[in-house]
Amino acid sequence: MLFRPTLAQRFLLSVLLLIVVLVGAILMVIEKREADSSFEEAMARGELIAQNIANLNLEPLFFYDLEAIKKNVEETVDGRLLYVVFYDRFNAPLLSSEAVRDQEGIVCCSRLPASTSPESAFFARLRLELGGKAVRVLEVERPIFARGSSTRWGSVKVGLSLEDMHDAIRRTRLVLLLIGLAGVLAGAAGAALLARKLARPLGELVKGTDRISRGDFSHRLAVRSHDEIG
Amino acid sequence: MSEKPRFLLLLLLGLGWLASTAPGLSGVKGREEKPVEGGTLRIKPFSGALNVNLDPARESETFLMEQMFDGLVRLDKDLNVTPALAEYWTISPDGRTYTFFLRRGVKFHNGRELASEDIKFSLERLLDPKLASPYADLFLERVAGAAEFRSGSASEVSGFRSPDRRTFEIRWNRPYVSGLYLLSMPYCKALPRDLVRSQGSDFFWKPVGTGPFRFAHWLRSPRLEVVGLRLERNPGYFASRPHLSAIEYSPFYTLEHFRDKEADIIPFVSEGLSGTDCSIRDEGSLEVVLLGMSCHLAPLDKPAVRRALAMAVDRGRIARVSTTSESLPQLLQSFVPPRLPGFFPADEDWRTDIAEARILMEREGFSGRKPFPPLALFVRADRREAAYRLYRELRDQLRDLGIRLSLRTYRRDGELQAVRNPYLVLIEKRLEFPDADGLLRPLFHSRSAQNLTRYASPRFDKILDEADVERSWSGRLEMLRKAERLLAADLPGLPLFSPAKRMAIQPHVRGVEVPALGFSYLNTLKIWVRKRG
Repeated sequence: MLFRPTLAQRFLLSVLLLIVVLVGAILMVIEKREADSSFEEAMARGELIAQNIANLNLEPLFFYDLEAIKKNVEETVDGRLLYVVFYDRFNAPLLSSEAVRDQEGIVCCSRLPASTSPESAFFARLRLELGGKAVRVLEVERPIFARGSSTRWGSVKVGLSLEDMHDAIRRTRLVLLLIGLAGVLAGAAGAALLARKLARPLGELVKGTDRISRGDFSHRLAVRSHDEIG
Repeated sequence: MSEKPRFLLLLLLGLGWLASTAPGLSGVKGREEKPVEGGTLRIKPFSGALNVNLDPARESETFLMEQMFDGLVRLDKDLNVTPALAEYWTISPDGRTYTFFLRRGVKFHNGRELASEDIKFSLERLLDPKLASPYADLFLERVAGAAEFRSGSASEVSGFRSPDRRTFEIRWNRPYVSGLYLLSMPYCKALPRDLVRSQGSDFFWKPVGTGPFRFAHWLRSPRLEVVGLRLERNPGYFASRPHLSAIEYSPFYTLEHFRDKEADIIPFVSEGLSGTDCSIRDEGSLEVVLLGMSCHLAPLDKPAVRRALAMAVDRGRIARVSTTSESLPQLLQSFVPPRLPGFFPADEDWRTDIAEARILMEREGFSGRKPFPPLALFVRADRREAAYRLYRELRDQLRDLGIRLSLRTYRRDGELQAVRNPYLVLIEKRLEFPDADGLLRPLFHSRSAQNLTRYASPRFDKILDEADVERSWSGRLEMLRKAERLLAADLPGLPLFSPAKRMAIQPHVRGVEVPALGFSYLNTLKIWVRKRG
């Protein structure tokens, strides 16, 4: 037997569907905005970190004091800043932090073109295996210029973990889903009430019309409101 | 809300918006002046006299060398090494080979392009025995093959190589971290090999370099005596083009010239300038004045006695009596001037406390019954007059401690070796280039002929010797800082002050940045004058 939904049920389903679509769309937009702004923030942070690391090591770099740079770099690297690689002017690696020393794919190549301006930066999103774990990484590379010189001295590349960012996005998504669910439930309850309110007088009207058609002219229909249905 | 407050609120908001959008009102930053092109800057030499020698390999005017020539590298106003003729360099992992890559298209003032052979020639000249450059010793033991070239057993310095036109290589005998500082000095400038060879010493009467200003002509008096020189802008300078069109440099500019605005920068020769609209700038020199103590002669052989003596010295008063209108001594709080890269202002306990000094002296056995032996203050014979006020002040201060001080002079450092009674010595040391080793080693290493205090500390010597071959720049700095701390504990001398020259600058002269190395290194590329010269 085919399920023949009542008018109230159809109304409820339609409204529910509409609410789900709307809430879903809103959640998607919010999540995308959140992800975009988090990523932009990570890019800006990466640029700043790369620039700071370059500035901090400028003097040792001119003296090729790789020991001092290595010490500075190892002190800077942590759970968020995963690695640092310095390149010379010819894009050959000069020094890299311990965590990626053997990762040829990371260390081997500078991504900067031959001619760059001091403000330029290169970004890449990668998924890497680091310490036996898959990590999402934002790689930022900035050129290094000697003071008062317009010729590039080298570059510095930093790898920032995006896991924190993704965790934050996941948390936001969960909160949004809960809010969305609450919205859908509230919408459903409201829609059910409304459907009931619409369908009940119509049902009474049908029943009343039926009785009148059967000659029961004593039947009276109660007028509860002064709208289209009332 | 009634009508009146609402109107006032709107008015305030409107005014706030206007204030934030009006040009010149938003933010505290004033409008930056746009440099004016052209004009002549007239300078009286910082040292007072004019040295007509324009050969960088001999003792010459640093300011002029910096204008007419360039070296491989240069120091900025904060003593950071920056590229000059070399746009890039590498240093081998063992720290012994420096490879410089020269900038493309750098031309001498005569239009000929600079080549690495010019650098090799210019640096080799410093080691040429015929030239007897005072700077040869800075390279002799350090550069591979320098000694052989100097002795005549080699025709060239094997440690200076020019593998191609744009590459120059230096091979040091041992890792030399301060090599870049050395190469930034005014004696390491690039000369055109062909012209110097063909013209000989005549070349330096009208020298040709790559610098921002080229030699134009000598300034002469009506009797044709040389009274200065004029430099003109090098329009093809590889770095930024100078704003000034010319510089005139003459020791004959007087206070009257300055007052009449005919000279732009002169040494601050008169307090009368204080009331004028000119600005007075003090330089930060790398010169130090120390009061050395004979560490090998009792009772000054005991650090506790030296500390007690130091405590009786009021350094502030000594600095005040050493002040002249041209020089404003800056009290030293450390042995190494804190301007040097990697050094910081120390906070040594060098306070004056005569009561504490007396107690310390008594503890060492010196009292009314056993007075402290008389001391002599040695000063260089040519500095006697200049140091006389300082001597008098010191004599009066030590009298409070019951110490008699006499003034004696010496001509050669070796003379002090024959002195058998305890002495103090006034040490004036100017660093050849910004490297703390250049101060600590000659003055305090036990094997140095310039060690006038005869301070001998095996620990201090060991630190300096290890620092000398240290490959790491930061590691070497740490070692030198350790050596300085050792000196502060042993106190073979008491750092007094750093003499800082004072210059008076006309208000229309803009862009003057006082470099850490002193006025001689003034960056004229940034200077411009508001009036047309």
